[in-house]
Amino acid sequence: MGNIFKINYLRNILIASLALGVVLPISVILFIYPSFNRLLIKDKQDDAVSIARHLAHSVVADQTELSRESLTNEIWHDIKGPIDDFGLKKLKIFSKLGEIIFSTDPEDIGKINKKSYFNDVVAKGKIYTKVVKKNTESLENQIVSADVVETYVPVIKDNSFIGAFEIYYDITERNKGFDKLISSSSFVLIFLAATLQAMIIIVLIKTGNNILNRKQAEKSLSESEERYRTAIENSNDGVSILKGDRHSYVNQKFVDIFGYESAREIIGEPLSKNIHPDDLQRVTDFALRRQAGESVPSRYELKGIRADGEIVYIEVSVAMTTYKGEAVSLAYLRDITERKQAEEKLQAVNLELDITNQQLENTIERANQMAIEAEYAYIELNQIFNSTADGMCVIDKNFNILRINNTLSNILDIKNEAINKKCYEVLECGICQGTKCQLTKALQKDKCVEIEIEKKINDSTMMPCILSAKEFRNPEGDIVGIVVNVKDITDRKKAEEEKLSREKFQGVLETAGAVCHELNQPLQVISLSSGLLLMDLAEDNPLYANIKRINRQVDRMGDITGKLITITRYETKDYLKGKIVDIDKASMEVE
Amino acid sequence: MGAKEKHILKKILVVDDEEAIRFVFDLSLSEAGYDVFYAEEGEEALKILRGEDINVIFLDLNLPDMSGVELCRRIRKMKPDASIIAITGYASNFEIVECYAAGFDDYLEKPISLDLLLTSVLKAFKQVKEVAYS
Repeated sequence: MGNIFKINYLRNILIASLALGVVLPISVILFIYPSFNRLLIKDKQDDAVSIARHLAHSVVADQTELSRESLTNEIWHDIKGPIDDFGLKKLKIFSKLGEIIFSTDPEDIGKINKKSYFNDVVAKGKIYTKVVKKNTESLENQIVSADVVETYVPVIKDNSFIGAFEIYYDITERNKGFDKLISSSSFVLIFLAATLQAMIIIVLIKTGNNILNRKQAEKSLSESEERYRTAIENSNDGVSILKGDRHSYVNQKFVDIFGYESAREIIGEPLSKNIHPDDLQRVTDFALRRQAGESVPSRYELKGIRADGEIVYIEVSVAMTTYKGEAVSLAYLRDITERKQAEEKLQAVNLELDITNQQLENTIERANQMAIEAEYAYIELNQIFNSTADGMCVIDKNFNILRINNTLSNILDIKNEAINKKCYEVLECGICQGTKCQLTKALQKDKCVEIEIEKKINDSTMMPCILSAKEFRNPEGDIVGIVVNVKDITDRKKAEEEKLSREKFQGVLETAGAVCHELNQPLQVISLSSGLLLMDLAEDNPLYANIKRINRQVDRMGDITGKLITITRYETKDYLKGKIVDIDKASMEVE
Repeated sequence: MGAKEKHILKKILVVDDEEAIRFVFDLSLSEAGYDVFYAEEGEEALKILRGEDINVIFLDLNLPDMSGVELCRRIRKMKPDASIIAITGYASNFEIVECYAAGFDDYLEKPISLDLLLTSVLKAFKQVKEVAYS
């Protein structure tokens, strides 16, 4: 309800309708009913005038004034007829002085009306009418028993007032009916008015609500439009409305992005004005297809061209909408040139970082690998150090033993007790601490020194070995000690002796072979020749024995050469001051 | 015994680069009734064998143009059934094995006595005969 008052015209309508609702019955009461009443009174007045004029013909006739005397029985009789015919309540005839000269109520006759209205109005020739309610006083202060219309009709003859008629019409029934009619009508009218008023109020309320809602909606829309307009106009993104491939609206930001002076330079222009040829076909295709209802990407990047020809990178977000009833593309554009440049820089930086990271990772991996390798190398070297067949130890510049491997420990039959001891206390090379000390020489020379020594390893055993020493440097290249290598050459010595022995034996064999071969040839000749001689000689021949002897010695020589061939080892025997090969032993099979 | 048979059982080839050895072998075997052919070197021996049906051959292992082992292999190809005996002044066990592998039937070390020589010849001809009649 309150909404009605918020809308002026509705409020006015309400007020008007209320006013009408009030005014109407009031008007009925105050105007229509009185008007009807006045009309009726006028009607009755007119009737009264008509009757008065009619009666005047009879009453006035040739009279110059009305008096009691002028009213004859005949006139009385003429008056009575219309009184009955017209149903007059009462009729009075007044003289010009106001005396009642005739009345249907005889008691009235002779009374004089001295009221002002009679003298001031009626006597002036004007009709004077009054409606007198039942049981109220008439103009003449008489209580009437019915509702009457009391009408004074002046009689004018020769422009002179000669008297008046007073006619009482009984309008009681008429009033009743009229009142009833009026009441009914008023009731109906009021009911209708009230109903109408209610309907009007309802309609007004609804209308008010609708109007307010609509206004609210319009206001909201307007505010929304205003917000949108403000938002679009003040947007940090360019906004464009494309119809077909042409701009029908652009905001200021759009203008700024593309470096124009105003939107007028762009509106109506095609996309080719702002879009680089590289992307023009694609973007135009998107726009047209989108406006045709096809599904195309709504978000993409493009290369634009500013007014000054510079390239600008744009991120576009496009949607279909309607603008002034037509399907258009609504595009939001964001200058991402800086971002692109930043991205490119970032990409470059990332690439560099990736490369650096990769290099770092590679370096770390290499370092880890190197650490692992170093560890493995240490383990390996340690194993090598301890598993090498040669004895090894590391000595510092002060000849303290820092490390000793298992081989040397086993050779010397010591282990941890050698650590930090002086090398000459442990190694006991026999040349220690003297001018022949190889370790001292190793510290002084930049090359490996080597010497063959015999190391006493127990009370009876001397171990031939080669002792070599090389300076030991730190990563900076400074000499920090000596690496000593002690190689047990017992086996080598033994092998050398064996080799020498084999070579000697080989020499013996070869010599024996040569001797055999060379001797056997002439021995063969002698053997067969002596054999042939023995065949031709009798046993008692003096030559037989000598030749037989020759033959036997040849056989013996053959045995000897046979043994020489079968020498399998080197065996000697003393001969004078030296040694010779013992052929028998050397060719004898080993049991 | 047929003439051919007698003929087969009489021919002997002696191959040695030393003339004195060839002489005493020739003398020794001839005195025993054999026909002795002799050669100084391997090629000469092969040439003789191509022309003569000789099935007992004594080879010195140390010849100037080829080794006795090689000569033996070649003779063995020519005369698979011949009896070939190696004679040498010096040879190791390895060389002895090589000789047998090359096809030698026997091996004699110098100095070979007359008895041993004649015995080896008889043994060789017996082998040849057995092969001929097998």
